[in-house]
Amino acid sequence: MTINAAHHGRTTPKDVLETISQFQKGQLRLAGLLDRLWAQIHDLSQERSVDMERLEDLWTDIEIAYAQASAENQTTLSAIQAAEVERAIEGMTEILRRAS
Amino acid sequence: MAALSPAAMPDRNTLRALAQAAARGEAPFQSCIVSVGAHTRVRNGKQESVSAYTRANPDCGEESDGSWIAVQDRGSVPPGYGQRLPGPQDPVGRLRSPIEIDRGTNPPADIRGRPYSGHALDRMQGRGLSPSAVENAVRAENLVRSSRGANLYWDPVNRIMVVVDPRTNTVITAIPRSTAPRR
Repeated sequence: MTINAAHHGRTTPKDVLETISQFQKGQLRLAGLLDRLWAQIHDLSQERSVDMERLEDLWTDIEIAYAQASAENQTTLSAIQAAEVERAIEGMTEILRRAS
Repeated sequence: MAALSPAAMPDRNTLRALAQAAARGEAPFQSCIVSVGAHTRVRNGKQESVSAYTRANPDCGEESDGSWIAVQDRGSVPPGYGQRLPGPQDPVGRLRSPIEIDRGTNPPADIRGRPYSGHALDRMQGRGLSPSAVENAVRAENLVRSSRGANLYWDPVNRIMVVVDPRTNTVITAIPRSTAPRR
């Protein structure tokens, strides 16, 4: 689903990209990234269309990796989980760059 | 070959075996270590280890810059000895360090016979989802996909997504979504 201009969130794709950048610089932990991304994705301004369904799917991929690691009492993500997170972040970045 | 243990300094033969294993890519430090060795000396007619060292692959991350890492043998285990360095297969990513998992608020719990992870309970608490709403989503007809050890259920009426570990039937996360998850 691509949400349209009827949605008047105040967050811009650039804001979300900044959040991702903070995570990549180590200024934001994964739990914080998930919470902030969730809030920002659902508050995106739709001056330009954003593929909301795809963004939610990618967020879900990160959440599942985190949830699995947490359920197993891991202190860090496994290599496979981390790769999944990075792949999802790259996908999000691509969508947001196109929209910004 | 036994993995390096921080409990004791390996002797020269062990170090040699480690170096040989490292050359074969079988060292316990995995491929980050490109060589392992020891400096020895003779005291009272007996050869003893003065220091042991490993050399790290420069591609293994910031902590291993390719310099020699001395492991001094002074009767105690030096800090970091026996600690595995991040390898190329490790989740260092752009951060060059492992991605950490925070301890959540809730402990795991069983609710009406269904195990929930602490993280799932945190999510449910944070987003106002009741266990009955979650349980209602976990139905065969709501199964969207099953991959990588996770069954993803989507309740299109209440618009709740629930992820279950199929090995243990544990709910590992539950979240409302504005769009249906991909199949």
